[in-house]
Amino acid sequence: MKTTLDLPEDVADLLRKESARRGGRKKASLSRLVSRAVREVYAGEPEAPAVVELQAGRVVVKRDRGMPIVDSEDLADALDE
Amino acid sequence: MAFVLDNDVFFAALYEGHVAHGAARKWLDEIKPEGWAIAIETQLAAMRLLMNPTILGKAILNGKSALLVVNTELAGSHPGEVLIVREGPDPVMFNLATGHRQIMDFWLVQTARDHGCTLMTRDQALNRTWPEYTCLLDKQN
Repeated sequence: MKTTLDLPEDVADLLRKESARRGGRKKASLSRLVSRAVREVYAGEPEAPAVVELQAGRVVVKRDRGMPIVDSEDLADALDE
Repeated sequence: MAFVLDNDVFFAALYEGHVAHGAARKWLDEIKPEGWAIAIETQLAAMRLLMNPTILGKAILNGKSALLVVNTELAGSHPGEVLIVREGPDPVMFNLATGHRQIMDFWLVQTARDHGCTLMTRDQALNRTWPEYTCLLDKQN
């Protein structure tokens, strides 16, 4: 979803600094940082765990509605905590 | 054993919501008969990711399920090995590191190298640094 946010100056400043710290806008765009922060803060209590197709030697954790689509940078961020 | 998977490729094979899931799943299914492995660090990373709400949202798994997922993937008719390296970081490799995020990647390269394997990755920078020990998943599909 494309939207426009009116952020307080201190929040915008923090986002810019965090983006720079993580290697710049290509690696850590403001959208990515905001998405990650919102998921962390507002995820709330876990609901039903993901559906998993389990076969010996082949597992797929299914992506249901509302579950994030992630890429390499998301994983790196999550493991960097 | 031919291939060691890095954290990203292994998790991409497991989770349908990873942008590279299709490619990673297909590649892993195809190469399993050749022999494959993950480092113990990758096994733990996968568990951490399966339990992290920034990755699975509200559908996170608990520890028991996360371990079951990883161990079930490692089982089957072409089981994956879990590699543990006893030696410390090799200065030849780690002297080239310039940022903290490279440390685990370099460690996985060393793990693959020390077991005579190729590390499968989607990290182009890592592949440029260590072309002799790594292979890009995107070139395999």
